[in-house]
Amino acid sequence: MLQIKKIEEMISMILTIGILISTSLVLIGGFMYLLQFGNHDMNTELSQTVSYATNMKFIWQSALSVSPLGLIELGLLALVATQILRVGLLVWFYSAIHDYVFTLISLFILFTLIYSLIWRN
Amino acid sequence: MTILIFSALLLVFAFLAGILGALTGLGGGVVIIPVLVLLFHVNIHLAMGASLISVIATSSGTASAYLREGYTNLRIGMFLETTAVIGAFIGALLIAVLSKTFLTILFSFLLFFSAYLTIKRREEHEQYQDSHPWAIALKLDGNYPLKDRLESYRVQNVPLALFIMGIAGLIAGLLGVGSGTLKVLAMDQALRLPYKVATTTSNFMIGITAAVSAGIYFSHGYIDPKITFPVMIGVIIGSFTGAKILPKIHTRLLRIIFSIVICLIGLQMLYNALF
Repeated sequence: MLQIKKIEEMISMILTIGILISTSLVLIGGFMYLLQFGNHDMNTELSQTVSYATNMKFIWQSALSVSPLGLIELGLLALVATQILRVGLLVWFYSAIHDYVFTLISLFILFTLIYSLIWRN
Repeated sequence: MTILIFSALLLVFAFLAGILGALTGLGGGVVIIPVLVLLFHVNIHLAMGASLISVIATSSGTASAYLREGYTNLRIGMFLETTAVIGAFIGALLIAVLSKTFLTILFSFLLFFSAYLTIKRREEHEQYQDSHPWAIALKLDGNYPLKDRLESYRVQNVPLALFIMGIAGLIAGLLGVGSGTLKVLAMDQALRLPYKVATTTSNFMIGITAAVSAGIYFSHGYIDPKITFPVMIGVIIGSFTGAKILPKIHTRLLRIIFSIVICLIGLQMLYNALF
């Protein structure tokens, strides 16, 4: 029989690893950004309208091209992915112990999480 | 001002906001948004985006530690998350059609309300003999560790908690905060959970609720990596520092002082929005 204690430990581990990966990516991207653009004027830089990717596909592409902002965004996505992963783990856990009400509840939350991420105007 | 100096200043202020958020129990988001808007003149949408990300990061970090201690009630957390995620989704969608003035005014009211809840002295609940019928059907009752034994608790008004949680999600999505105060309110006042169980379960939920809003924030371009990275790093370090020093300080008095500060910030935001 699966123990809830075990699942709590696994979720705790997922969260810790997720934050480590996410903050590492954000820190590396942030340092690269400051090295490249640190001496630029803030006002001209911030007034530029959307100079960063807002679409999953573009974030992925700009991260793979190792652009500083792309790496930061990948780090932020990793943070969101961590949340999806922990809800996914609960879906699996509740179905494994045949608790179907809670399997449905966690599935609904998982669906909303993924749907909001791929949601487009 | 160069980007380097701007980022360094953001980092320092985010760090301070993180400490203040942890000490008051309000969370970093409620404090960092007015700082960004009033001090750095950042667009409120981008301030909310940066805050939302910081909220996911800090709540994930603390939830990870709390889960090991055995206070968090996963069943209650997941069940109440159903209305919270719907609220968070709708809230994030509504931003696009609401004016920035309205959001700023709403935010200042959230600050007043949070300050009020912080000052109000909490009363301990009586021990309940019965649970709400929904709580029995869904097996929501649980127990939590005391020094030498496990103490069990019975769950009360589930429908009311679901309703408040939906509002909490809506506010979280609308304003880019964790809505921890409202979440705790739902579990403390409606479900009548022991306070430690309420706060840790709220923490478990915040990351998931905020992640739902984050998806929509991303696609609207509210999450600017240039502003978000120093804010996120600063708030994380600040929150953990705040949590470390929390047991060592006289919180009751500090809470009152901080609540007054938060009210003043709220007044400033209200003034900015109206004049």
